[in-house]
Amino acid sequence: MKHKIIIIILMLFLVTGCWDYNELNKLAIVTGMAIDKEDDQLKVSILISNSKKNESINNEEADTVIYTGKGDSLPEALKEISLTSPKKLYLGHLSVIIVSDVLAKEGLSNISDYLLREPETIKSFYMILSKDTKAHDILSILSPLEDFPSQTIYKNITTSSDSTGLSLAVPYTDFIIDMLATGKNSILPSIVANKNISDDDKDIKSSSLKISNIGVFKNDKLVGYLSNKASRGVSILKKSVNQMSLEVSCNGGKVVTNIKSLNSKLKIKKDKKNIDINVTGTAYLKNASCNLDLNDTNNINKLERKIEDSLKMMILNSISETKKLKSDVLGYGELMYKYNYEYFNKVKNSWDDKIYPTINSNVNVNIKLISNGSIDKTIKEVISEK
Amino acid sequence: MLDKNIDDIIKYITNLNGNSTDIVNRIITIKKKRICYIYLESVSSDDKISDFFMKYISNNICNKIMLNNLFNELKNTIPNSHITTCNTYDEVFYKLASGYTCIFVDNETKAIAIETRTTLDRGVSEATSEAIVRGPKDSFTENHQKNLGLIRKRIKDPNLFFKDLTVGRRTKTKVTITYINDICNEQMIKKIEKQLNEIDIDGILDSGYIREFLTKGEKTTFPRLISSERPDLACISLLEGKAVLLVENTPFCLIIPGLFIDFLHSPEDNYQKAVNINLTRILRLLSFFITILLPGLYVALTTFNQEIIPDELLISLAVQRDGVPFPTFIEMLIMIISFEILRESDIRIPNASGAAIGIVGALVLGDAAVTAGIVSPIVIIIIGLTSISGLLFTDIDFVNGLRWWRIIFLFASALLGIIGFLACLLIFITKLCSLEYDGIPYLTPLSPYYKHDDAILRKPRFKMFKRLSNLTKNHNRLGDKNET
Repeated sequence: MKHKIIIIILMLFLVTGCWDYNELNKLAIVTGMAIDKEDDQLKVSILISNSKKNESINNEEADTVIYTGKGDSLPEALKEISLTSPKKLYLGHLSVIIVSDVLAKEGLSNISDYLLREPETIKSFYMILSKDTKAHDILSILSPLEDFPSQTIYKNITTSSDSTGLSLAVPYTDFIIDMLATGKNSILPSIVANKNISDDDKDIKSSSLKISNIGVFKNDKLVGYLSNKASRGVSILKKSVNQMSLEVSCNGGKVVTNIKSLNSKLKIKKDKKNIDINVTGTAYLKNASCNLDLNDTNNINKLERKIEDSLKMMILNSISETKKLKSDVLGYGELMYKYNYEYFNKVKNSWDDKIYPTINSNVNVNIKLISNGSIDKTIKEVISEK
Repeated sequence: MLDKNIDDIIKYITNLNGNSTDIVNRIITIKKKRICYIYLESVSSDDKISDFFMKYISNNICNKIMLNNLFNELKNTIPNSHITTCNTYDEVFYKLASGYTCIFVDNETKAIAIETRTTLDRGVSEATSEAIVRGPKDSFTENHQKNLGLIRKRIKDPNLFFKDLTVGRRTKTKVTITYINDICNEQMIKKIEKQLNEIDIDGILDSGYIREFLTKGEKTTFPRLISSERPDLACISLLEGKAVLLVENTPFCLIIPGLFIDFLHSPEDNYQKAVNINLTRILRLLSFFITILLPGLYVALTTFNQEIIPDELLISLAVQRDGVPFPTFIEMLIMIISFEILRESDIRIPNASGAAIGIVGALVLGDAAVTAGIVSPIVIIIIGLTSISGLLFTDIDFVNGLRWWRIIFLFASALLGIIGFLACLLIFITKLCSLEYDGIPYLTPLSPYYKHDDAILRKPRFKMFKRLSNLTKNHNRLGDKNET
């Protein structure tokens, strides 16, 4: 009896492979996906990062390949792709999905459902809109700096979100949460190809990608893009900026500052018509190309006011633009929902279209210029004193 | 009882030994009384016999008027400090085999045995299996007396007790239990003594024999006794309240009991700065886990739970695996087995041909295996790291015990992925916790936890106040003066 049990246990080791067992080289690791609309069907392109060994350069370097398939829905298109790919498609390491804005305008609920439902897919990938370009083309632009394109896009979007505030990295989970939350709408960053892309391969390689403005959704449909200024305003209000550089004019020159530790607070007033927005932060002087005595506190105060004004403009811009698009991406509705549940429930259905544009925002920015950098005077000032 | 007639005695002893060629006997007649001496020339020194016996007889006895009682005369005046009398043939033969010379006198039923042993062993040399950089370099040898001396010269305390036992029906091997009486727990000594007395075996050729009897019935790969050839480690253990078994003809002593943390320690730890040695200790603990877990973890992650691996690493791993015909599990098993073969052959092979092993190991099993596409480079790295980490420990039984768990973890991971891995980890920790020696848990003082000055980390010497409390009856390591 004991021997039988041992034999059975030993046999178990021989049948590994029935449950969840995958050898790495049998997997096609999908790191990027592009979804276009073509002839009323979804055209899905996937980027596989471990296609074959690149013998000529380096054994360990991966070569990427793009497979394309069509179908009415995402799983159908993926099924078509799996007919052409010799390996099993593995979505666990998906890092970027690029959606063409044509498709986004029609609504993303169709593809969102599959990505959320399928247990194999990771939920923390980034979703990006391709503005005025086919999503497939964005995916196929190979950056000379990176090994695989999905990483390029991913790094582009995160660094620009961290450092300039021009755009905003939106993980898929955040996108879905904002989309489904009451009194809130989602936003997505967008990306454009710098050059017009022709069919010639050479052109594709020489063109590069650039992060563009933020796209605003209403429910699952794209309704429009924000301007540059408004994009930065949204980033500030969403607290996704680590540091941003800002230029302000002074005495016929320009002062460049670096603004850090930005923080924003939204508060609803009792009349339910006004919202107070308080933004605080610190500024560091980076470059001063004007004749200005920086040891004078009055001058510093003036500079601070100018920075505050320009930040305020960004924020006001973003609010007015979203009001025009009738989409509450800043979450005023959510605030109202928490502040006065009964009132919000009454106006829930007409919030985006009627109530949100009428709400008044009082923006109050408080910035402290705390460092002049390594030198006190400006070069221009010293020259003029000579 | 011995025979009265010398001729009968000689006849009996030579017959008992099947007329072996190394038996030498000679009959001398002094004043009409016959005496005879017998010795085994293979274990005795002719010089000593001439010095202590022949010269003495020719110089003294022949000139003297011999008394009636020749036997007592001889026994009291032979210039040798090891003189005993034997009453039975068994005793006589044991003495003969130990290198004694036995003297028989006509009409006496006793024999005089004088020590005339020859040295059949090497001198005290440097420890080879437990090398250290800083610290005493001597090691135990095959000579029992020298081994006892190496301990005695380090601990001059009268409380250092040696208790002799003879084990083995045929080999009659001397086993000495060494302990410091006022530190060590008597219960443990009594238990060891009882266990040793119960051993009924024809031969003990190494302390390894004894070890297996002492740990009879255990179901674990982990050693619960330390075997060491370093007298300094033996003395450190004695001062900690442990007992040391010295077995005749064995350069390895047994230290009882061996706790888990002892295998993470090295005698050298005591001779270096505590702060610096603590880093080494952390590394040892880390490599303990690496050597057991790494192959299993790799298999679990790459074949079941790829989501955990970061993007770039996963792609790099996937590309490396391209074209490897075996499943990762088999690949790993091949490498583990070939490393073990390599290690075993490296131990057995004479030094002269050792260079060949290095070439075979480095080229054939490493580079060539990858180029031929049999294994992926990362597996070589994993096995390399695993094996090196495993060899960090000095106790050979501990190293070989870890080997089993490495394979068990590999199997569990290949079967159920990270779930199997974690389940196996649970079993492993439970198993370690359940081990004990004579009521002392194996993981003392980690589990059950209590504060100890020399567990994973070591305090400076002047702050190490207490010994392990469940091991000793006298806990104070430092005097009262220091404890303020």
